[in-house]
Amino acid sequence: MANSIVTAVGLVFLAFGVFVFFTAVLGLYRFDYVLNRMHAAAVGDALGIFCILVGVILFHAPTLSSLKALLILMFMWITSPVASHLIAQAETVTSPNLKSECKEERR
Amino acid sequence: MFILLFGLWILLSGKLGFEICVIGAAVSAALYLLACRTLGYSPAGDLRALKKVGGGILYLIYLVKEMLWAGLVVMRLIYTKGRNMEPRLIWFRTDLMSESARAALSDAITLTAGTITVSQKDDLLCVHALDTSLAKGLEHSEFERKLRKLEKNV
Repeated sequence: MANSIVTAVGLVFLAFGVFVFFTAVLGLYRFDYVLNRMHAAAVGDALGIFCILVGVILFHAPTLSSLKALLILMFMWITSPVASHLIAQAETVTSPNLKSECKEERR
Repeated sequence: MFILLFGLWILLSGKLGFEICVIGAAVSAALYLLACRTLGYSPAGDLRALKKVGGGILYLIYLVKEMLWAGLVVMRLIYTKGRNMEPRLIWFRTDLMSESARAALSDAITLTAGTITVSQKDDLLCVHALDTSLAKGLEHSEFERKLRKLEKNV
């Protein structure tokens, strides 16, 4: 009984994770400009990966394999901001239309 | 550091056993010695880091909560048709002193969907926000407050 509940919860997480990734892809089409689209992709990086891997952990729990999924989550969250930061920097340095795409503000 | 390496060995082995534990302990000890000689790790430094574990875990819990919430907010923006978003490129200064705390702040900002750290030089950060609503209070964020607290415990 408890196993079925855990599997069902895992399935819900997996399904929501797939929905989050679908939304992220939709966001890539809906948003204009590179920097805005990166925010849509970030939804998949953060929420999507979290839901999919929590689903995987629940499917395999309680084994050491499920903890490996936690390790994957950690590595994804450590590396993805570095890649995002470099892409964003490259875009702001090279884009000729940056001022029309977003307003600059100093605080 | 030794315990972390040993835990990682067990985790990647995928099963627990006498052989795995003995070989894991030997390899972890060798790696730890190498790290002490070449990367400047020391038992005293590890003990200092251990004191910050509690605060670090609380910070991580807060970060995950914010990441998930920001993800939902951006998802709502994706499905809101006809909404006039006002993307902003915001420059602000942080009063965090250490390089590691500033890097952690930049990472936290990038990990929360809706804001991306474009550049960080010394204490000056440049952040791109998808909408003005997502950029409110960016310069005095809770992340910064928690990191400052961790920084003071060094």
